[in-house]
This record gives sequence, structure tokens and C-alpha cells, in this order.
Amino acid sequence: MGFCSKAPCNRALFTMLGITIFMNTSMEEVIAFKCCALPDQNLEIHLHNTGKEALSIKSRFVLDDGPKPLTITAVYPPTGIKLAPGQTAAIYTSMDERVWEQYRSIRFEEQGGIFHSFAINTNKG
Amino acid sequence: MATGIRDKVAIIGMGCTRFGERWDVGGEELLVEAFEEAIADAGIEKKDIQAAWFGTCLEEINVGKSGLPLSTSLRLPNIPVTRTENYCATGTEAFRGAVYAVASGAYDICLAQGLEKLKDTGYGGLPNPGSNGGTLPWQWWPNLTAPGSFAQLASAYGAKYKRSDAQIKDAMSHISAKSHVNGAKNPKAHLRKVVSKDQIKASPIIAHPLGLFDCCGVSDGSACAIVTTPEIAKKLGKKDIISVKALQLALSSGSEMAFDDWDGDHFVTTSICSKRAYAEAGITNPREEISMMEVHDCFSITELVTYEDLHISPRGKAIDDILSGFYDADGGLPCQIDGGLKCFGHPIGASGLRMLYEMYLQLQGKAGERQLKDPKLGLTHNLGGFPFMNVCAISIVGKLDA
Repeated sequence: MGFCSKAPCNRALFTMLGITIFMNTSMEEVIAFKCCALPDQNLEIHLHNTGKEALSIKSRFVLDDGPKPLTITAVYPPTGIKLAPGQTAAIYTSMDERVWEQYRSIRFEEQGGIFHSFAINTNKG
Repeated sequence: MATGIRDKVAIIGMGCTRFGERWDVGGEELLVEAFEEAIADAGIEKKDIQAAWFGTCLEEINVGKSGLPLSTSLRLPNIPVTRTENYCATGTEAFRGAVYAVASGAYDICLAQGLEKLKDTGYGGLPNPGSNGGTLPWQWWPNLTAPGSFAQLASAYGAKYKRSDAQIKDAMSHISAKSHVNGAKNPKAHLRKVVSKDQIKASPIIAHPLGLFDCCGVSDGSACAIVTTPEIAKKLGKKDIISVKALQLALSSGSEMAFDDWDGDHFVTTSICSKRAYAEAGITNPREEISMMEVHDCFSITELVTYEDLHISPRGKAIDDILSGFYDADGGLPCQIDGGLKCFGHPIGASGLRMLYEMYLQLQGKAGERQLKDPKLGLTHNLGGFPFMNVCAISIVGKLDA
């Protein structure tokens, strides 16, 4: 379960975005093979639109609750993700597992400045 | 009166390289790698091969024109070598040349070998044929892409049979997931990891509704077959001989492109070619009699529609068969048991022979982890070109006495 907020009021809302994370995904070699030499795309994240309105998510995310916020912009596909209600789409990026393990939440940004945050690595100490 | 090819020619040896981005070797080494496996399997010497057919399609940087790349790489002793090219049916076309040569009585033992070394050219997809494409095709399909063209096939199919995008996507995802499960068991496949239907559905769209996993990649690889007569095969001490039951080719006449009565939802050539192949092989009920298939899964929608064009699934019902698991490894008619183009990639000149290689292994009980239970007949299918104009090749092989 995640929550969303809109700057500057930082008003907490139930998010209409859901995510599923695949670290060390089996997609990695497929993306490297088929997608014009995009190697090391070992992190796959599925974005699900669980709401009744379309979502437009930027091709970037921020890792929070770690040493310092870490913005990841080298995300494939780079043009943003448009999600119709009920639709799921994946993004891929290269992620050092040791860095990933240091963070406890991940934040996506919707066009219009709405942020969607989710807990990650909750099974780690 | 022509009597067809059934049981006139036996396959006595086959070889296949590992497919993939073979930066480690050149085209010559790929030819040698596959050939050494085949000649050892056949139990003959190189001097016993009297003629060869060499299939290579697009790649003329690493390979080049004529039969010379094969004759020189293998050091074949000044025998006739013919280069064949027929789009994605190139490998099967080379096989056809060798098989017909033996059947005619012109030669006793022939070699068919296919090769493509595409990854060095730097293309993610097929290279643009450019000036080598000929002026006529460029008038027919200016600015056309393969994914775009086959995506239209999906749209036409959905419109005709009242299947939604979601239903088609679900079936295509099943097709691809099934192939990746199979390919994970094949040491010669390039992509060897299982991928879930959810991952496939969520992957980027290439040309709606075709996503990343609905499109095969190109690749490097080579495969070959050594053929002779069943009589000579027996004299060589071969047991459980694998023979050619049917070998058919059908090319578009141009009528589909004129949209006379074709509505873009299927392959006219495959429908005709398969009927001829079944007649040649003496098959009356392909759904029951064919044990396994390797079809041309360049795109998942191609595989879906081909099930119907092969007269295995009823028209408009392939989706039901796919989702029921009929074409899975443990289903009624396993398809792409080696992983198919999705896991091997598509080195065009080699793909047809790679498909035959899997049928050959399966029929001999040598497919290891992928082995099916007692297969009798295997079908391979290639489709080169576009839905509206293409080359279709179908071969059926089986045990000689079956």
C-alpha cells in the first residue's frame, strides 16, 4: 500500500498507483538483446493503475529513507508511462543492489506534481 | 505423375550452433561448429558429400554472396555448392535443394547448411535491405516495418473474430511465456530464462498490440543437415531413420496485396502450403497426427494465426487452444519445444534448419530435458515477408517406418 501527496501541501491521499518490484529480473538479458544495447537493466518495476482515471507517470523515481534521497532518471522507456485504468506497464533501470538495500521507500511522480510513495525492502533490518 | 518426396530421403546427420550474439566467432567458425556436429553425427567423411546448398539471406558483410563462404569455410573438395535465398524460408530452401537433389538420384549424399551473422551489423532488428532489396519490393512496401505490418494482422484478426485487444494480448503472452519456459531448457538457445505472463504483458509496446516479447530478435547462428537415401542410410548402419515426409513451398501471387477477398487476418500461403504438405505426407487429421511443431514465431500474432492456417485450430479458435495449454510442452500438440525464435533469435538463413534440428533430436529421443514422449511426426514452418506478401515453407519429418 502506498500513499500520494501533492506539493506544496503534502496532503496524504490513497494512491491510485500500485507497484510490483523485480530485482535481478529475468528481463535483463532480453532488454540487452532486443532493445538496442541497453545492458544491465536489472531492476524491473511494474506500475499498476488501480484507479478509474488515467495516470501519466514520469520516467524517473526517487529512493527515500536512506542515506540521502537518490533520484534515478536513467529509466527505460524514457518517455513517461501513460496508464489507462486497470493497465499495467513496466519500467526498467540499472540498480546496484547494495545501494537499493539502503533505502526503505520509493517515490514516483505523476505529471502535475503528485507524488506516489511506496515502502520497499521492508523485510530488511 | 509426380509422387512427392515422402520417405525418399533420410536425414543422417544434423548440427546446430548455440545461437545468440556470437561476438566470439565469425561466420566461418559458426559454419564449422554446426558442420562438425553434423558430420560426426552422420558417421561419414567430408569427401562423401557430393553437393551442398548454402542458405544465407541478408548479411553480406560477414558472409557474402555465392556458395564460396560455405565451400571455403568447410574446405569442401571442389563440389557443387549453391547459395539459396528466400527470405525467412532460406534455411528450409537450402534443405529443399539438398533433399530434391538426393531424391532425383543426381547425388547420394548432400549437405544443406544455413548461416546468418547479423549482430555484427549493429542492428537490433533486421537490417534494411537498402539497394539489395530490389526496386520492386520498395514500391510495394515503402516505409513499412515488420512489427507495424504484423500488428495490423492482429488488428484484423481481432476485428474479424470479435476478439478484444485484451484477449489477443493474453493469448500472445501465453505464447511467449510458453516458448521461454521451453527455451530455458535448451543449452543452444540465446535467452534461457523463464519470463512470466505478467512481465510479458507489462513490457514496452513496439507496435500495438505487439510488445517486446511479441517480437523476436535477430541473432547469429548456423545449422545444417546431411541427407541421403533411406537405402544408403541403412547401409551406413543407421537405425531409427528419420525421413522427409513432406516439403512444400507457397509464395504469394500478389492477390492478397490487391485485397481481392483477403481481409488481412491470416496467411493465404500457409493455409495452401500446409494442405499440400499434409497431402504429400499422407496426413488427413493434422491435429491428431502431428506430434510437435516449430512454427515461425517472428511475432506472437504470427504463431497465433499460423495455428489456424495450419488447420490445427479451427478458424477464430486459436486463442482458446492457446489458453487451454494445447500448444504447451505438456499439451496435445507441443509447439516451439526448443524455445523458438523468441529464445533463439532469428539468424534468417539458419532458422529453418534449426527448427528441423529440434524435430530430428526429438524423433531420435535425444532432446534431453525437453524430450517429448514418443513423437512420430514433426512439422516446421517458415514465413518470410509480410502478411500481405510472403514466402511460406513447410516441412514434415518423421520416423521412416511410421
